Amino acid sequence: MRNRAAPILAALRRPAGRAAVAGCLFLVYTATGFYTVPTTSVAVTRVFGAIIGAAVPPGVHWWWPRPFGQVDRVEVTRTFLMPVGYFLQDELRTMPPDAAVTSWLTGDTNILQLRARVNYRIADPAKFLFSAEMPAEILRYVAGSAFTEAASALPVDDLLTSGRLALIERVRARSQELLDAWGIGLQVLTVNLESVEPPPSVIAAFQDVQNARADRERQVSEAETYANGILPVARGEAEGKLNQALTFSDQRLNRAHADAERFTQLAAEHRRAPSLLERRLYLETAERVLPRVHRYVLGAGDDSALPIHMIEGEPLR
Amino acid sequence: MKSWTFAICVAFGLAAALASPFAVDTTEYAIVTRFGRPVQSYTTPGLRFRVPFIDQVVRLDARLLMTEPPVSEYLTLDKKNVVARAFLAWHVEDPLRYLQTVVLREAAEARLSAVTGSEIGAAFGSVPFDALVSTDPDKMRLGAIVGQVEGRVRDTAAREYGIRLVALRLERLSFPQQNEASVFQRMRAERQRIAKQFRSEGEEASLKIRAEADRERARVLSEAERKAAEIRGKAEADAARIYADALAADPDFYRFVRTLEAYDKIIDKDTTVVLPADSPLMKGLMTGPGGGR
Repeated sequence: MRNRAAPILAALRRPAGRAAVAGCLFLVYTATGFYTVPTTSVAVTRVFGAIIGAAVPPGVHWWWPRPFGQVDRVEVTRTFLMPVGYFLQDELRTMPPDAAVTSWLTGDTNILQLRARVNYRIADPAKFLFSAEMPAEILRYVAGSAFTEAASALPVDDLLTSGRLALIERVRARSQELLDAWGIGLQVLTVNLESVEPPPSVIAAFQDVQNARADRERQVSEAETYANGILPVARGEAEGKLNQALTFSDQRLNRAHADAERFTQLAAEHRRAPSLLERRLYLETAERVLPRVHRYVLGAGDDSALPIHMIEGEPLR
Repeated sequence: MKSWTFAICVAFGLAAALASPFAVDTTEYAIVTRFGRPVQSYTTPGLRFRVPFIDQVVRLDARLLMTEPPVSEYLTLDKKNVVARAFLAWHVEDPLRYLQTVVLREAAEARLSAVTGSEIGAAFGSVPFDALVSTDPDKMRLGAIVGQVEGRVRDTAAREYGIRLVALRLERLSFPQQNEASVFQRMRAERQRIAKQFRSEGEEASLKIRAEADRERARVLSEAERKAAEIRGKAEADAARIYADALAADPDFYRFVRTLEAYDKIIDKDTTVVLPADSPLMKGLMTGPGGGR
């Protein structure tokens, strides 16, 4: 030990040796000032606590080592997330879960459970590092209060359905506005609404409203099916009635024409020989009619003893 | 002996030179106190100096700090309980005043919380519940009410404690735990009403559509019947006209022919006909040739 330290002690006795040792120490000290900034980050440099370099780009740089200077690296390309309405797994170890965390009051005094995620990035490294104690926690409070402002003016049905897009846009804009006004250095990228639902003990009632809405649609479509079923049949039936009437009309007119034609021709015949035709028609009719009836002939001038002079004829088959 | 004195002087001077300078960080304020009395405050970062061994440096956080007052229950003008969770963003503005009045951050937070609580209580107590939570924009004044509380707390904080309140906002509004059951009850009743309304609307629409369909069917059918009757009637009329035109030529002959046709139809096999022997038909048979003509 003594043998190894001896040359250094010997050198320190000479002025030149002292200067060389001091120079070496100075070089080693200054060499500790080199630092690297990863491509995902920028660095902020300070001297005696005052910010000198607000955004040192990625690469190898040199800066005054401690105790004169300080270097802080900040990941600027990464997207961070902040849960609103719930806690991340590792936060839960330090914080007891609380039902009040997830519940929001709506404008029509319903209670809704809402879980959202705010994605953000660090827009201004120096502000992010030095202007606030807990920048990310501020974001959580700000987003929570933006949800409170919006939800307490909206009815529950809007929040559950159509108003969601407007809600998250409003929360995003409002959060960014406050972060900028307070100089936090964070930029809100998106607000994702992970779930919006009624509390578990009333969820069945909300579900039933959905069912009722579906029932309404179903009843309407069933009625429309009924209407679509009976109307074409009725139209067909109507068409059938018209056709029947037209058929009757055709038959009736044709028969009338036929009868009229027959009579006209018969009448012409009659004009030529009236009594002859009349007699013929009379006899023809008698021929047709008499064979199928019971016939009795009474003797001429004798009208007292009917059966004696009767010639009886049975109907011909 | 002389070299000893020199060495002590050099050591003392070196110690003084090292003890004098101090850095004020960008995140803090520094106050130099001499025997406990503040003599200088530094609010901007950089290298500063003090009198060695006599002056003390007290550092205060200069950043924006968050404080969440204890969550408390408030009563509105119409006697409704509301739980409000507020938060405050603030920073030290006047380090000397801050140091003289509160010293520690915990004390500052306790006082800010107390002021906030009483201001919210006063503000909520003078407005109806509708002003805090409502879908009616005319009634809703939550922003203005919180703004008013913020203004009052800001004044007090600046005047009393040298604190600049950047923001006071409500993170959450809710009902007290013990009111939740009745709120849920009301929510359920409301949903039941809406569900019932949807179902009755469905029934109404269904009945209406069915009734309209039935009516339309009746209309189509009766219209068809009317048209059919018209067609039949016209056919009858036309037929009658045709007959009339044809028969008008010889009505007597028609009467004769038609009578014969009628015999043909009305006399069937169950009919009994009694023919006198001198009837035109039988006369020929009875009297022989020439007799019956």
